[in-house]
Amino acid sequence: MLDFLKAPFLEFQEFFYLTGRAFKNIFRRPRYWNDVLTQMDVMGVGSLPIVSLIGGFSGIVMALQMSRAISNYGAASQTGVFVAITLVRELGPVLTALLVAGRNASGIASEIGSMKVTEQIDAMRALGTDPSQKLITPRMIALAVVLPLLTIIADFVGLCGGYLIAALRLNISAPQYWNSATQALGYNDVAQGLLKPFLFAFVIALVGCFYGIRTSGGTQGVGRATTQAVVVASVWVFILDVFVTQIFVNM
Amino acid sequence: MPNSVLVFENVTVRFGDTPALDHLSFRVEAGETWILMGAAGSGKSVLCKTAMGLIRPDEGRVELFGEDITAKGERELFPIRAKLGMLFQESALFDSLTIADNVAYPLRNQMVARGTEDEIRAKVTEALEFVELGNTLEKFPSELSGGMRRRVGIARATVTDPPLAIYDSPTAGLDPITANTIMTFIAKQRFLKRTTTLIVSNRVQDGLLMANFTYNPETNRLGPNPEGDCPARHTKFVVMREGKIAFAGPLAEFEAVTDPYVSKFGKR
Repeated sequence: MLDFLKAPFLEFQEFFYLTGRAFKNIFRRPRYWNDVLTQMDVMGVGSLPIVSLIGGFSGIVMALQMSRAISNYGAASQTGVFVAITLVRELGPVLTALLVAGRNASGIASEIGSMKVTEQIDAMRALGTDPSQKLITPRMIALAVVLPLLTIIADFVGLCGGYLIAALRLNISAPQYWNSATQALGYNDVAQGLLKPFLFAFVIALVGCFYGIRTSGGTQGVGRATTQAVVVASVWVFILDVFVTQIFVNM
Repeated sequence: MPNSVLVFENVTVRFGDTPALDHLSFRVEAGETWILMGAAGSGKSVLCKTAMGLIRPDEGRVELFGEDITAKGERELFPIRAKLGMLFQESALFDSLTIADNVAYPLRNQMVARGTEDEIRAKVTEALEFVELGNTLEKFPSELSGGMRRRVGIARATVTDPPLAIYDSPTAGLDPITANTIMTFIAKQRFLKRTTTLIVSNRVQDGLLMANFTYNPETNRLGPNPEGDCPARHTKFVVMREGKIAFAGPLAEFEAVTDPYVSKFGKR
């Protein structure tokens, strides 16, 4: 029983050790700003199309679902309110994070994992660079910056998608939709809508790096690390989501 | 009085329950050339990585250039590692960087002042010309053949002119002509910079080449050892078996050895 528990605890401990190192590196030289910018481009700009697409569709679906439910109460004109609140509070951050986890946690894990199995990580250490400083911290910083931005874009495209349905199917005018949507959002909603992606970003980047850096066993190991990174990052996104939502609901 | 460049004292490295290095002790003196042989899994690569502090021993101590590296943190190790060049088994070139950037990597990243960007570029060109790859500066590792990558690896390992160079399987899997070229570069580096050299290779020809031949700067080729003292005369053959040293000695002793395991490595 104890042996059975030892492995996951050890893994958890290693993860926190890596997290600690990654954060400590923020305050230490040398800093690799070029790598941060490259990663912002790869992860941020690269994820833009898929994130906007999914954001738009989730807005459309929410508007369709809500319009049917609330028209029973004669409140179809309030579609904007429901779309705005569900998107900004919950769907925008979580869906974007899941997409980014699928796209970038896997990318990070496979890239670092391949470097590990081809001894490039060892070579990096041998040639005077700390892999956690050169590989992990830049990815973490880059994602912490771009994931909230991607979420804002997903939210906005989603609201536009919702407007499409409101205008075409429910004959709601543009001022009516946008006014009700913007007025429905309080500071609390926007704050949790931005805090969530910020926290998710750390989990996604660090989980991707963690599984990448402990890859072993050749190309097969890289595949395993990639899958684990996506699964674990996605699960943690949901767990964190529950905690953050819990805090904001009580406020 | 020769001074020890690398010292292992009772070093044990375990992966799980099986020891990869088993209470290993030896000293590499400055100016020596070691030809490290042994069956797959006998601990040759682990030895190289432990020497650099890339793997921490479970027991014993490792001394590199007179400093005990066993308990040193990663950052304290960087300046010591800067004095050591290493060619990894699969070259381990960075895929995302050009050949020039790969070779410049130690110059730019080792926390020792290595001069301006112009000086770095000149050194990189010189190092690549040394391995006769001066025309590949802007290429990426994926565009080169295995032998060329190995040569870039040598250029990267020696661009800082380290006093100690470790070459992990420089000729493995290469045709005899390319292998010979690579060994010539290693002998040339040894002769010109007086590098203490550790070569992992199971090709006895590589060992014979290092023991019997010296680089001749006039012909730019290898020739028979000159009279008197020269680096080739300090060549030592070391055979490993299951994490232990089964044999260590000069060529004459190596050729006379009767142990069936060790003598297999001496067969041509």
